[in-house]
Amino acid sequence: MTSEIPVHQASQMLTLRQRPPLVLIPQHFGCLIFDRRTSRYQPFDEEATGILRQLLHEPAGHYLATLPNAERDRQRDFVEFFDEADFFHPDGRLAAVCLDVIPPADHLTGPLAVHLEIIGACNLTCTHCFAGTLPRNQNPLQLSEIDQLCGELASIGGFRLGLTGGEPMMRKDLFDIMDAATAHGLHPCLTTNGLLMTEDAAREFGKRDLVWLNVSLDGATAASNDVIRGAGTFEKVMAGLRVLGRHARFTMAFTITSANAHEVRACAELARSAGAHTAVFRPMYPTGTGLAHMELMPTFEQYTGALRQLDECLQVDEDLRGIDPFSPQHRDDLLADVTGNPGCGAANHVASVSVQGEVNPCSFLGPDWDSGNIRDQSFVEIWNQGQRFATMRQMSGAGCGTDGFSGGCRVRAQVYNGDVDAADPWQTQFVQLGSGGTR
Amino acid sequence: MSSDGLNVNSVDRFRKSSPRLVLEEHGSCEVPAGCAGVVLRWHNPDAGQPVVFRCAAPGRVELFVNGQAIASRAILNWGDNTLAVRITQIDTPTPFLMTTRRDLPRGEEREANQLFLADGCSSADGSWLACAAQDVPADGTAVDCDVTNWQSLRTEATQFPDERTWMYESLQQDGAAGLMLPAGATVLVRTQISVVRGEA
Repeated sequence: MTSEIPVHQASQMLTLRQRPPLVLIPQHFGCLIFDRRTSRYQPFDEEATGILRQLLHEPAGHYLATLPNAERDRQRDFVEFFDEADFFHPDGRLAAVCLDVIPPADHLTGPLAVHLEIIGACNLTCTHCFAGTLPRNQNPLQLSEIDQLCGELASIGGFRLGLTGGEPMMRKDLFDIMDAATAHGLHPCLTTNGLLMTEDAAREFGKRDLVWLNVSLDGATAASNDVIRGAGTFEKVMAGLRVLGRHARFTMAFTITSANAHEVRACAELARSAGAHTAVFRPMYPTGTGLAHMELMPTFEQYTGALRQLDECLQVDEDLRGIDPFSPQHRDDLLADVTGNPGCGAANHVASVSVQGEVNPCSFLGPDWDSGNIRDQSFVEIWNQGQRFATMRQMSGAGCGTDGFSGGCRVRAQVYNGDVDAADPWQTQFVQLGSGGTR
Repeated sequence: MSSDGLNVNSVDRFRKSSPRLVLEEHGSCEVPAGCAGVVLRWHNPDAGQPVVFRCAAPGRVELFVNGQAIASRAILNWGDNTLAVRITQIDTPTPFLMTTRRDLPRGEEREANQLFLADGCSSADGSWLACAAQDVPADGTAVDCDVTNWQSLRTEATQFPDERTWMYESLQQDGAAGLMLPAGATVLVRTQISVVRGEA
């Protein structure tokens, strides 16, 4: 690995910090503003979008001064919010570029995140891996094809790119792929098992603007981790993290299973002691290799119990700055809805691209939901016209009577209730608890 | 919720409401499909103080912290930092105001007077220096630039242009003084910002 890492001249790459911090992405309802500093999207209606477009060219103070008094009073809080949020250049213009794109009438201009499987091969055989049914490494996408895909994604506002596999560090041109994504203005994330980490690789990671560099572990000890990820992996990964931490900021990613749900606080403490900037916890999904190990699927009670344990970390750790609003307890009051489609982001916010270029609404759904290949047609065509995408966007749960899909995960719905448009049993339990939903 | 079933931000949502209510759409990729999951993030107390700069100036503005170009956010080192502001395309002699605000995560908003770094708010106390037009040195944004002959900005502006009153008033409320700049189409302004650990 070490000898094959290409040496890049930092001066040749346009880093995330050198671009205007905001991108205005036209949408059928108005626009999405993508904030490069946080990698988050905020949606605005048509009137607000019109003001934002005006502020691209006119300083806020000038703009407000031209309004009639009553209208100035009405818009002032809106403009001041943007000022407070640091959305303006120092001279008062909106610090954004506007994408030149005509939005589709009934769905987002582009996905908000794409998961790209850059390699099929892996040096582990984890028992819960979602990629278990992926074709292995036959004729994988080449760098030039990935570069073209990145350009397409940037043109439609799909800025978050999750690089997955397989094990991405087994791909010899990994850093070229990351640089291609960054050069197009995408925000790449990478998930690795960390086993191939070397000093040189860590140094290369440290040079780049990765939003997330996830290193996976599935337990707080060798005993609980290695039963899932293989004998000896815990110690090897921890050694890799010590190397990585000398050069780059990293995240530790844990998959909550029935085997480790009781020790998530210990996992969080492990992440902190290992020097992780962030720890990510997500539940195991019933897909891929995991389908052969369903005993590892956490119950809803185990999962929500794990979330409560993590919540308690906030009470005792003064340096823990917060929990990002991905869990059901923390996102309702900030939750927008830009699709009108209940729950699942598949085909609505997200899409996946397989190692051979098949585009799917979600990497968990499997090849039955492949909707086209970027070697045959553009990603934009598949996103806008792919039959499977259209089918999923039109699903409302109505076809399944009172037990239709109303939020959560369509793969859980498919596995436990036989149809992606049936109810996700976790959502049902969540609603019974009196809350909003599990998305 | 709008009539078409969507829930997006409107102008009126911002009236008398907390910025914390601004809607975000999450298309996560660290949590595939955004179906569920939780993210814990630790603050590294050794990393320095994240800040946001905001200013009103009579032309195009470029910011530099410790010699590095930035947009408007930066992480200041604990101890002394050099802030340089290059203002170009100056057409009218309007004042310069600047604030430096601690950049706290959502949910950690504190009292207004604790948010701003006194050193980073423009002041006529002599700590803000300027150099105009042909006198601007090539290394004027560098940390070790010789500022011996730079002019101290000690003249406080009392009048602001009508069309930008809102911005000037807002900066004044946050602690910035309006400083009169030396004449010239290009002006470089510098100051030192000292950040003391534990004062946040």
